[in-house]
Amino acid sequence: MTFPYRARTPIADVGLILEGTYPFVRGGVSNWVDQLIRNMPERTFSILFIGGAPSHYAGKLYDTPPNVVHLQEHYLAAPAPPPRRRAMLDRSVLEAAGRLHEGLRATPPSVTEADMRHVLRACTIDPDAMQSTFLHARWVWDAIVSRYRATTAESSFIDYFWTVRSTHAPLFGLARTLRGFPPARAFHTVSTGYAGLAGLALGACWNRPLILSEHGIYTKERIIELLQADWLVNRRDPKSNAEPMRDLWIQFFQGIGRLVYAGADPIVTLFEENRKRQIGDGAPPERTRVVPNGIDLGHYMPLRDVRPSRPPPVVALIGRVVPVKDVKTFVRTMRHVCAAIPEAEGWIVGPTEEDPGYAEECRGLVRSLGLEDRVSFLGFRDVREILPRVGLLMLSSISEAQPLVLLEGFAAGVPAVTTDVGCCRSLIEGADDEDRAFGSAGSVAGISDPEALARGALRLLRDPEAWKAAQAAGVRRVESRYTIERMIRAYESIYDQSTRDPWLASASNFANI
Amino acid sequence: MKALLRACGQISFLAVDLWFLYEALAGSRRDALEMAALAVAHFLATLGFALLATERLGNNRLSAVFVVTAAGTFVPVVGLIGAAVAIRLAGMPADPCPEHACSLFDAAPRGAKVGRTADVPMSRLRAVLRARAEPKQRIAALLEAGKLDARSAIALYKAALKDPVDEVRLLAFSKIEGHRREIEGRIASLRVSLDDQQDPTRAAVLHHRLAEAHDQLAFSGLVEGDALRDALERAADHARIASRTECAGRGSVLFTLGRVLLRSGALDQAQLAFDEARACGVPSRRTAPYAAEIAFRTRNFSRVRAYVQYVGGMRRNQTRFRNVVAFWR
Repeated sequence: MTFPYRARTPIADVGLILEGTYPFVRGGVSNWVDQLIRNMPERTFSILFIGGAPSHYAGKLYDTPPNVVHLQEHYLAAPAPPPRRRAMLDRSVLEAAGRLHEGLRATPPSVTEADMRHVLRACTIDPDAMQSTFLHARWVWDAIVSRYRATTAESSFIDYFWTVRSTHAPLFGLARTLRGFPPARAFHTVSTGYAGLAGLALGACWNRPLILSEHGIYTKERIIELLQADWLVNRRDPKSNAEPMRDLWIQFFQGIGRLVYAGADPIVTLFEENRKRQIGDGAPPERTRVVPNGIDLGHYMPLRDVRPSRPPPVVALIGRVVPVKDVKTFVRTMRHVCAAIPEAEGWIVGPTEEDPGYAEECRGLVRSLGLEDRVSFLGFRDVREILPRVGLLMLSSISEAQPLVLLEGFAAGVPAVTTDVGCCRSLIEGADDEDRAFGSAGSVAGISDPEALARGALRLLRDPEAWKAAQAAGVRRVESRYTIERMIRAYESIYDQSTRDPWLASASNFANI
Repeated sequence: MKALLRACGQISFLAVDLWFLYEALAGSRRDALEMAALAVAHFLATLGFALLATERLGNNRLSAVFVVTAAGTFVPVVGLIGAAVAIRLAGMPADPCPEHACSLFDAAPRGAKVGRTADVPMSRLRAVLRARAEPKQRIAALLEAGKLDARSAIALYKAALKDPVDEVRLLAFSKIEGHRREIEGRIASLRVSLDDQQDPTRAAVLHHRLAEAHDQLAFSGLVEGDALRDALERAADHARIASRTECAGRGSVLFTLGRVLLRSGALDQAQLAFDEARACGVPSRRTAPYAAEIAFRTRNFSRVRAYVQYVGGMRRNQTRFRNVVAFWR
């Protein structure tokens, strides 16, 4: 069977597979993707956007530049239609799938590239056969029963069976979408999960490499979501007190993560701690590397000249109003700051549409703390309009990677107070001895600690000398280490290595795969 | 007679101790063996004095004996710093609730979740979190902590906020936020209802519920520092407004007010509120634990003992009260 894509859409240099981000969601990762595309105008990009449900998104929030030659959407929540015919996957595919599952469960994971390619290619080329096999094949039923008996036989088989089906259900529709996605010289994804798996499948089909750039660690984020999931609470095994269904979901995402790590090369992340985490989760160390974020200094340096001489008593949280940013802790922090500096203001600058319920809770908290005239929700704004008017940036997030907004603030001469998440401490205090010599660009506090955040903010707002020293440290740090030129050079090199195969110069070669 | 004998014992041990000390430090030249014998005798005399002097301290007696003995023995030999080091090494018992107001008898406000603490020993969960066991075990401990009462669970979650593993830290955070969201959501909806309420009796009920919700924020340890003070002030304000309305539940409102004021440290006002609550029909067995707390904080220990005996008689079957009664006997 041949791959059904017909080369009417231009073949891109890079096929970007993006889950829950650019161009339909605003945020750090989306801005990073936008930067990457715009700073490589000579390369063409095709984009596959993978989202939850269409209703979660309010259309495109970024104007895609002309070098984006194809944009396709896929929504995981959309139910897959029943298979059009009752074809089954080849026995060799099933055996390879069995070995693949066993290998993913092993510590350390042991997956052969041949099995991985064989399974992914077969499932993508013939999604109907994949679906029929998964739903009806005796072999799959036997595999589920045997796995159930070996692991969770004390709990309900019905729960186990339907959990296995639920975890795999989104893959049927995704495989159908991948059949229509145009080939590219390399595929690039910014997460593991469904996007990583899709990138891996496309890479297997077109025999092209998959580049993985993880900002946050996708598997970790899914695990945290699953641990909080109320719909899994009542499925505890009364004897062992374990939660097998929750564990099954977690194992599913861990398995995808391991598969993507096994197939991606290179595996890029933003800072050293995340690289170690990737290795701990199964990434081969020799394929991992760190490429920090970078910003266009030219956009932000002029803002330093329009700043007032003394820091305005304005503390800004620039980011989406979503739980992971812990905006409520920012509001509580502002209560302490305003108690000490009555003229102080807190600005929350970022879109509120992503989680309207949470945004309303934050507004309610502002009202209940009597801060209506001190804390404002400004919505999405151009940061270059905001930065000259604020004295401090604050990030109260419970999870971050390497926030671009801190780098933008430093470049514009605004120190920051952050929680100790991701590489925020390195950005504030320096990553190594040479970097630390620049000094501290603000202060760091534990998560969910408004008093400590307020102490850090007050120290800088009340002491202009300390504020100026922090400003100077931030400027020196961003200028020496976090420029867009460095980042783009690194990705140019990665793309060059991944796309230089001369065999790929002709689109007709793809059609013969 | 017993007290007189005890006092005589104490004085005699003290006298013997001082004499040994004088002999050891200021006496004529002695050889090493004699000095060692005097040091041991000094230690034993100090220990005897400490045993007699701390007889009434019940569960804390061991620590008290150690402190008095260490001070008596080491201060003359190694000075205050040495004694402080000895005491520190012994590990003094920590303040059970360093971050927020609490009471020996403190009970959950209405609406607070009361868990099956007997089934889930908090000490075991805390040990798992502290021992830096495998992250999976720490996550399991946090999930299990959900069975505890809200205040105990939140104390564990807060400790886990400093965990080095993201999953553990973020799970703890989300659990705390879940508790907080539930109470803050309740406060928000009560405020909306209150804004629309014209009937003073119903408004008083809403004020009372608001007082309880703010009190619950404080009780659970969800707010600290200024925010804790703010929550208690709001709780007291709402309770005062509710208490101005003459209604069937006024006693209950005053009882809430008393508890909030006690947590705030306004002991006289708290006592007044409890007295009024009793006058409005709240049974003494409910107010007595708080009266004991007030007596304790004002260092009126004979009243504490009296209240404790009274409460002990009422709640004979409750283990936690048995322990308290035994402590004060």
